[in-house]
Amino acid sequence: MCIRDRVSNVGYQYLHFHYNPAHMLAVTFFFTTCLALALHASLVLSATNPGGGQTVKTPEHENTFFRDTIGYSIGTLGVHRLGLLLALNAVFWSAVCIVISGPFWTRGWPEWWNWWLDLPFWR
Amino acid sequence: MAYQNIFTRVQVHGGPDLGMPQKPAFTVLGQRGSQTFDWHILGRFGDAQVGPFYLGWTGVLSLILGIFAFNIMGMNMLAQVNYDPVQFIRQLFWLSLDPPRPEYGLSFPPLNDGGWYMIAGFCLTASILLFWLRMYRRAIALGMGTHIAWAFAAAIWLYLVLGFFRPLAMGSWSEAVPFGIFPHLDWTTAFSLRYGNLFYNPFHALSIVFLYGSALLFAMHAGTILAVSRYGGEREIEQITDRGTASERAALFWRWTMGFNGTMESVHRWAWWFAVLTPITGGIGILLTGTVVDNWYLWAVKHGVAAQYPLVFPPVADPALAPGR
Repeated sequence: MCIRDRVSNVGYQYLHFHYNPAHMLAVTFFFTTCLALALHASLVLSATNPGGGQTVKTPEHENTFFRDTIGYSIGTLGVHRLGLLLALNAVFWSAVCIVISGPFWTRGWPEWWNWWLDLPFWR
Repeated sequence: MAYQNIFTRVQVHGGPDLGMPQKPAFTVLGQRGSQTFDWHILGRFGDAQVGPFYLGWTGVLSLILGIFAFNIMGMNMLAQVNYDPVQFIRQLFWLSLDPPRPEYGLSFPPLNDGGWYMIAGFCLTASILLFWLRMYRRAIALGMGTHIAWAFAAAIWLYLVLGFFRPLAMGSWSEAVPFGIFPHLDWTTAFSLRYGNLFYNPFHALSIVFLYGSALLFAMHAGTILAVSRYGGEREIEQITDRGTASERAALFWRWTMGFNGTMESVHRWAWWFAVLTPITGGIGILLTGTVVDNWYLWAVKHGVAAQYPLVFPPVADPALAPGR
């Protein structure tokens, strides 16, 4: 319970932690990791568990499924490189988002985005 | 440096792989395309080949409805900046297509008062459901299991709870999430504040556990497979049906380091359940909020989960409970 109170308090100390750009990246990587893990695990299970009376399918079936549905299949080796990359980025940006809150930025995170609104091109 | 197998250093480009044969289609839509191209950069990391594409009627309808939804959102946002393309880019993250106000309840509001939101939401939902059908039907067509479709259904459950089931239960479409980058983050924070801090919601906690667990599992699994790729460990189907030294070394590594190991098949079952339970538990947590539980902090105090904090400030009237508007 203490950890939750602490997470909540730090969040509000910076007004709205969702606006922290590193937090945005971290959350996006976490969600994408979850999506990619679901797709990879499902694909392997669907090839090896095709249903009663049917033979186990091959990596060529796996490739065909993803090329048919989304136009690209990353392949059996590539998906593990992708998974490692996504998962490591999720924790890396999580660490970045909390370590910059204080040492780098002490105001509210929504305010941080003003640099974008104030770019010389359109201000 | 040791062999890490992060990039492919030598690429072999043969002829295009046009996919497994399928039954003859009745229409041109049901035929797989024959165009592919190889992209070298992709080949450094994964498979170089892009395509061939398959449209199918579910794919075409899904695409059309998805483009409708995307354009309705974009045109509404463009209208909010007086059709100024520069301001559109400048303010893009702040722009929003909002759901109708609470006084409309479950009725259909005027177009500029949430009506466009309803139409965009309908198109997006129809597009997603058609894409679900596409995933299901392609798996059947290839003689595979339908695990991907059911995992996708778990994500659709969370999406429908947020935008359909919970607003329906609360009796107002105004409860739905706005379309927009920062606006949906604002909605999330306001939602948590209104209902006494979502961190005290046990289903929210479960969802986070499964989300973090998914990242941990994928890092462990992907790292393991890359580590045994010199023994052909990435050929997982082959390792599942005819266990080889790659599987056995991977299993021994985890047995030695943490006392337990999955198998080449069971690690994918662990992964599937962790990934799928993330949106399922999350959706339950959202659906209970405001319908069954009004304040998660008070709920946690009542059930002895959270400490009761002393009241240091005088009580403030909850604006949400103020009469009339």
